[in-house]
Amino acid sequence: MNKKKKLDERELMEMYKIEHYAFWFMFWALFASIVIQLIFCNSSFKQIGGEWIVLMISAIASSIAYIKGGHYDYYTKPGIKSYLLYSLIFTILSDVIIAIIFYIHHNYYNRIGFIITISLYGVVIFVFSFATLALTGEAVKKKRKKLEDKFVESNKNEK
Amino acid sequence: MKNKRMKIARIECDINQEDLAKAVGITRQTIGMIEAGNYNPTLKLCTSICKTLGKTLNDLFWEDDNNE
Repeated sequence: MNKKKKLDERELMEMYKIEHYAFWFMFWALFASIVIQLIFCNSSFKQIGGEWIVLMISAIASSIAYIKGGHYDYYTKPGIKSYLLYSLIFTILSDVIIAIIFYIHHNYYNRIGFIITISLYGVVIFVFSFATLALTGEAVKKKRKKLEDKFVESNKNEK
Repeated sequence: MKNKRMKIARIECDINQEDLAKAVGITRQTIGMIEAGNYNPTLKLCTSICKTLGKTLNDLFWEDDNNE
């Protein structure tokens, strides 16, 4: 079978665009379905494990591909500001979800205990997400520097 | 913005959209969309269109105040 693509560059770009929207829709729909199952169905990890693994594989695979290409984000550059901003947003969102799950499915008689538990989760999530973002961001910076050096080198060679 | 210069150059060469598309290895729809200004071709494609029509990039794709 001839595996050569039968599309021209415009058709290929349109296909990539469609696949881009389909991928992000599936990614966030999968994430939403996991959150909904955790909140409303009190699902265990065994029940959502398959979906979670698929979500993690696609997240890790796209992160590796981004790092390899030296890409970070549509709107921000890698740096302390963006690491702080994104880890704060992620911490707040995940803490709200955890708080709702705990509030619905666990009987907390002690309000202070509840707040302390949620705050501790928040601290752990913040540290973990900040560290992950810092690691990936610095890797992106390194990759960009490498690409830049490569380009300068090839320019020198041309001279 | 419509690319009238490309359409005129194609007609001058007596080539229809289908034949130009075949010559540069793309679909007729893409040629139509470039002429209608609905698709921005890559430099590689611009070059092969120019070569097929015997024109330069300046002739077909450069936009200045006079050409706009």
